[in-house]
Amino acid sequence: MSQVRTSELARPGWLGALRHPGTAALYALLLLSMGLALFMAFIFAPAERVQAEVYRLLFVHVPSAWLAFAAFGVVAVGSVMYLVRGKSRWDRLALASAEIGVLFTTLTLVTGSVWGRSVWGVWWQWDPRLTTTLIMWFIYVSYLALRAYIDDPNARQRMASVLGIVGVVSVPIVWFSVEWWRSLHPTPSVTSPGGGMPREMLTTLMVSVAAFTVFYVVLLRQRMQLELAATELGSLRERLHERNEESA
Amino acid sequence: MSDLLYLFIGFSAVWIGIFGYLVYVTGRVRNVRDELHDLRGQLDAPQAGREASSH
Amino acid sequence: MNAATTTSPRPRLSGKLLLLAAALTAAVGFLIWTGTQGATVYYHTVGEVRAMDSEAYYRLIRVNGIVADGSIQTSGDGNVINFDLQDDSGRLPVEYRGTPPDLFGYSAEDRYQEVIVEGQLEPSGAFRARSLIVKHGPEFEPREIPAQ
Repeated sequence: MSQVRTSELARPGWLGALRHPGTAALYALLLLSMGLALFMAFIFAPAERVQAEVYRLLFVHVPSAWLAFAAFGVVAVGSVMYLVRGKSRWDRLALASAEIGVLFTTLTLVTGSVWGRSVWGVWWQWDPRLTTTLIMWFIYVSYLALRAYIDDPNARQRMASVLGIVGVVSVPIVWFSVEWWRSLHPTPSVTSPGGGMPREMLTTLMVSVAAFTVFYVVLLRQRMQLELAATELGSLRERLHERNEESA
Repeated sequence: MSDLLYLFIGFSAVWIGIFGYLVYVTGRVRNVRDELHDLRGQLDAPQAGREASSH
Repeated sequence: MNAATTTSPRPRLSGKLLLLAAALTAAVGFLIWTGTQGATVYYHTVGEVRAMDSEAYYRLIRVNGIVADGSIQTSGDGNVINFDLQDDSGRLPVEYRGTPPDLFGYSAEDRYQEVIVEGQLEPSGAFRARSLIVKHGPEFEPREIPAQ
């Protein structure tokens, strides 16, 4: 079943993939939303009163963080579904989403650090938001490490599912950290009472979030296909090995 | 002035990170599929091919 | 080989799984517990520091407050900065040596600047800061207010 699916898609080359109408549309949407987000972040959105230009990091920092949260939510959903249904497809979803979530968390930390250096005057502080974000990052890095460590596919998928479900607790902790504890990091500009931004900035932020979401979907699809192909490759190698032994 | 540098570093990190990952994963998909194609060819090969591969 | 599409439950694993789940829950629980205990706050308020007794002297702490309007004084080639940190309870005199962040001292009209200082409280009641961090709230405004 899975074999048929990969071989259908197995067209060599970068451009080969674009012959698939769904893929081509997705990549077109990716380029379009990315271009629009960049234009809005640098030209449409006005400079800020206190921070001048550097505040534009908002348009990559916040979408990275939100998409990381969403990605880890998807990990939990995939993990639950895998344990309930036992279909590897769900496990592949969880794995792919975790990897992309780690990427987005890393980008959140990097952009936040640079922004912090500029506005706060420090690269890093052990404040609750920064600390919990780093812990969240570690949880999902260990999720990936755990997967790499266990050879038996059944054991790997089940263990990973447990971690994928428990780990998602870190998401609300990171989100509410700025409200529960005293911190340097500001509360969310979009939802908290003291926050706010002009319409142009808010629109730009929303477009950026949309662009990052398209990116997430593209990366997720690609990573899941890789996992499917890699699994098939593994089983094919095994079959070939067995047959060679038989004939030897 | 250094503000613009921080802005540049931040945006570069994001785009390099995302595109780098996309290129990496896409490249690996292609490699794995190429290998799949080869192995499938070996597996589907007639008796003679099988004997040849066992030597 | 069928691992890609199906899985068969392995009772052998449930023990390990349970252990893993327990360890993880413990770790996350510990995180929440230490966080909510309040023993480890990221910063103290000016009021809290002003109420501290001699036991607090020379211990490394962080204080958050508003830079009192017009209290910033620089001396010694601009490397020594004195200002008052303020909250509802009163003022705390602060001395900071070093280069302040670019945004320190910036104040838009009718806005007070919130900062966090890291350093030691001295018996004189002054605070010797070794680092000065500018806080920024969740509000963003356009640089030029568009003409109506």
